[in-house]
Amino acid sequence: MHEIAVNEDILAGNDAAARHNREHFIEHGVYVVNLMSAPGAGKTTLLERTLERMAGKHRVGVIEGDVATSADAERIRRLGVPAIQINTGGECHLDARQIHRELAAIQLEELDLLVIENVGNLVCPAEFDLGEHDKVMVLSTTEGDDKPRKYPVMFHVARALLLNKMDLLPHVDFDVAKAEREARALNLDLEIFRVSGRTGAGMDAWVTWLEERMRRVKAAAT
Amino acid sequence: MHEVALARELLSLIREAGRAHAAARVTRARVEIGQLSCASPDALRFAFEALRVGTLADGCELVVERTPLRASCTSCGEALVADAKDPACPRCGRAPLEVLAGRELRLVSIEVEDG
Repeated sequence: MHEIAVNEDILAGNDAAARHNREHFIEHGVYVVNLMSAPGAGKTTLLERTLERMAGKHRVGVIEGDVATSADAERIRRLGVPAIQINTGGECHLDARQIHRELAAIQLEELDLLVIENVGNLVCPAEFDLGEHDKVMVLSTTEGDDKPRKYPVMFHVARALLLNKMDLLPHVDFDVAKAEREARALNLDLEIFRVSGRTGAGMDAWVTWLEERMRRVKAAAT
Repeated sequence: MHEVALARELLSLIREAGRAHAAARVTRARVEIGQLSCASPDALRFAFEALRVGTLADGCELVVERTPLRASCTSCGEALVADAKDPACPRCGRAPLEVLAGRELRLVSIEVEDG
């Protein structure tokens, strides 16, 4: 009986696939966002409002991840935006290999932005790199301002946070300053946007930020 | 419950390392999980015990060590070990903290019986 040193990341296989995806994205100058939140935070609605603002200006594609159904991809297609649905069949997150399998069906050279909407879950998706440029998370005011403390990993890995359902603030006990302070506790550079998918409030600042990120990725590729 | 996916990856790393050393059996695996990881050691162990059956790692004991969340305070510069659920500097009480380590999910070593 003897001990053998291994020292390998458990997610090495996923990370290799993510690196491969990232190379494709960078090569084609496509800015890729991994959109994450708990179920019901409003990811798909915010995505719809975002796509409406980009219509005619940018070429966008969407990958929808859900445990089951293609309802979300159908919502996106109604806006004239190409969408692929991945059903994980029980898995609580998307991984880089799943994304890689779908890339064959996507003409990356025809896109400026690819949004991957992850499975609704505040825990598991945080652990899996998909090869995206930025992780963006959505927290809605109806979920409670204690979420950054309860789910620190998700708030740590996010590049930007959309604080959604701001229109409901008068009806819920949600301390915006506390949520923002605690969301930044392990993430100094977190960009925070206060938005409402229902009223459209705050969406312009978010879309401007996205466009600036897209411009940088495009410039680096050419 | 992404621990099933993690356990699957872990098992394949263990089997690969075991085979590379022509092991008859892998009896123990040491794993590090950082405090700033969302993997639960109990759930990982549970999934691993279900998946290891009939493989080179059948009966393999999983030894999990939680590695600390190391950070430095962006206000006072203090190097510290933080609690992910209540991240604040023990010296000045402030945050944000800059995370230096704590996201590990690593297979450190295996113990094998020679074939």
